[in-house]
Amino acid sequence: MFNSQGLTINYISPITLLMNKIWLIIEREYMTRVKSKGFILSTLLVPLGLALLIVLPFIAGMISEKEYLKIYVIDPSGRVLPLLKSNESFTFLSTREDYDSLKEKLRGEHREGILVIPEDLSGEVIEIMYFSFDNLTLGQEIQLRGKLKEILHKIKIENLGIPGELLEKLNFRLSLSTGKLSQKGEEKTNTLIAAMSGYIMAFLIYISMVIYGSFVMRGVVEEKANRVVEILICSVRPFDLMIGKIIGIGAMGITQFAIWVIMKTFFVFIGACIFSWYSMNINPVQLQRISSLQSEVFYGQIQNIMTQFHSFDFKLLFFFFFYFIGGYLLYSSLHAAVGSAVDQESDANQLVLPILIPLMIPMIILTRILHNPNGNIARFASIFPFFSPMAMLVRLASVEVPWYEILLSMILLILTFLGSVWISARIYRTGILMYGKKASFRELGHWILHKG
Amino acid sequence: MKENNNYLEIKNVTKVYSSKVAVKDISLSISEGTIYGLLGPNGAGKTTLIRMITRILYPDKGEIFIKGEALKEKHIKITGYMPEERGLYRKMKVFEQLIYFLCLKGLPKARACQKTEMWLKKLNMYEWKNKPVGELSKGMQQKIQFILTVSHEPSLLILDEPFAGLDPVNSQLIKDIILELKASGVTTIFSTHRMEQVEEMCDKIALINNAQVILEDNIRSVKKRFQKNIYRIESDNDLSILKDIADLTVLESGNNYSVVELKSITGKEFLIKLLNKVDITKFELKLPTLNEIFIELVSKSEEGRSKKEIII
Repeated sequence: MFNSQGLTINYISPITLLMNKIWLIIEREYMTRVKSKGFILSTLLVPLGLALLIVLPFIAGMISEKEYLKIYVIDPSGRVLPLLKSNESFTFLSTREDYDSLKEKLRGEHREGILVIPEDLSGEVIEIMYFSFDNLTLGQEIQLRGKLKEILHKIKIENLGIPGELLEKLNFRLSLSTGKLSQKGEEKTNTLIAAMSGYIMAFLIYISMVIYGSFVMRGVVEEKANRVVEILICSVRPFDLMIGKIIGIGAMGITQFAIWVIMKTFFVFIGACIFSWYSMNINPVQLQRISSLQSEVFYGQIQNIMTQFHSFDFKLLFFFFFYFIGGYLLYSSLHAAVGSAVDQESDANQLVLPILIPLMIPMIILTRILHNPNGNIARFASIFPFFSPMAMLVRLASVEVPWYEILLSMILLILTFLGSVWISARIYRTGILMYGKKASFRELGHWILHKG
Repeated sequence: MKENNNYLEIKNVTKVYSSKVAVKDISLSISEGTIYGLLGPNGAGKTTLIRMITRILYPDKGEIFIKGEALKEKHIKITGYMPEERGLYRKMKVFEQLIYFLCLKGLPKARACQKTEMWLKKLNMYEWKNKPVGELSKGMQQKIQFILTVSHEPSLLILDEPFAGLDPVNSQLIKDIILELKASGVTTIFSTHRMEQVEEMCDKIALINNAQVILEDNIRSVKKRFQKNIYRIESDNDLSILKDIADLTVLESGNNYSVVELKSITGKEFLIKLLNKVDITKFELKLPTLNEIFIELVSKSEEGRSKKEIII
């Protein structure tokens, strides 16, 4: 029944066999993860969560009930009260009573207050007092303060003898458009949006390095902890196992991003449909109310952002994927090395710290890079390979980076990840067979230098 | 001539870890189609030696040959290794998992499927094929592990404690398969602490202690070598007179038997004398069990070692 003809196998070239094995590992790592509930849930929930995070404040603002407040104004000068216009939050009432009797009247009332305005409105400091049994909410205080300041400002200008019509002419809107001069001519840019998209990309890279890196680490620890690894490495080389795992999980990450990009386009389309439908169905009265000066600026801004985000910058997309892959290979191979050096996930914390610190530094100095994308700190961070995946994207999004700096940064990143894969493979090879003791950094050094 | 007969040849292999020597100049030869027992206390260097045969580790010095050929990538396909610490992916289904490992060994997928089905049926595990491994009992996982080891039809089988965790029925099932494989020409290296299994199954053994081979021979000659002048006598008569017959010490005695060690007389001479005095129902040369030999040798070599250390 058994014939051990193991030695008379058909000849298959070693390279195809090897590729075949790495491919098998990639396939397993990819398929088991993509089919898992965790992947499906996170792929759906992350954009939903982000969308909620953006939309929720708007919705909350829309549905929040306005606190109604009745305010008695003691105004001996008689100049402020006529200008205080009541609205849905405040009703201002004149009163002839004095402060003490008002105080008695208000006892137990929650939605009433007293505003005491001094007679002399010419001083450098004007002290207005507000009393009530309840504290003002932050929103109410800001609103009230704004109203009063506006009114007092008007009064002060009137005191100087400038007539009202002239005053109207002082109002204006500022629009600062920025443009970039290039060979093709002038390009319209929006500094804010460029900075934002740079920041978002850097943040995405940071988050995915941390999350996918820990996936790789957990995968290695799991294989080591349940001892599959010994069976695996009598069939495949440790290096193939490690690189297969890294590529498989990376492919999963790219799949996730691809799904998100598709979902984003879809949601933006739906959002645009709803928005246009909504604006067509608004009745004229409402429209008039919306189209005050402020909301005009606001909607203009939104439209601007939508178009900017819509127009895909393919150059930037290419760099995003380059730095994503480069950074991922660099950081995930280091995570794999750490995973191989410990017996349990909980032991990994101490060893993983030196990996997480260089990941966090560019996030900490990100605002500095945003403020001065051509400064020395920004230039260094965008070239130094441990920082460049995040820092360079921020620069690329906001300014024209000299080509030699880009090239240097890319080459350094490639060299560094090749180096880190090599070093990690050496730690991994020894680490996966070591049980029982926590490896120190010194020992890791030993493993790197130790030959086969 | 002799070379051809040896399936596996280990020549002067040494492996040093950073802090200690795990295998020190070990040479072994294992002939084709035999079951070879690798014995030794924990930490003696067995696992390191096995890992070098399976190409998980590389020797610092020395070489390993299979059929006269130095170990190569292609030998992966003809070795089946079941490590002492068993390991499977807990969430992966039985069938999927077996196919994955067989494909990693280099089998085409169709053949892997076919082999897996056959072996699952053979070990009465077919109905579990779509269950995640983590849901199976320990014994069942053990059987899956065994299938993993043998289903790519290796010609060299390395089993580390293959019966651990198995009930008697399944132990017998696995034992029968190992013997069946032996009959078909498979060479097996068998590492265990359970001596009765070694006595039962192995053709030849090597005892390793402190990174070195301290004994290598086939079981019969090992036993002969360590045989002492100890006999077991069974009789219905009173055996207290034994002391008067010859110069001996009674090691053990019971209702109707005695175990004695002869001092200055051979067994044959003793038997002749004995027959004149009592009716005996049984007279047996008591061979030492492997267990006894094992313990004796290991403690001896430990003694030697500590003496050496004192001298140093």
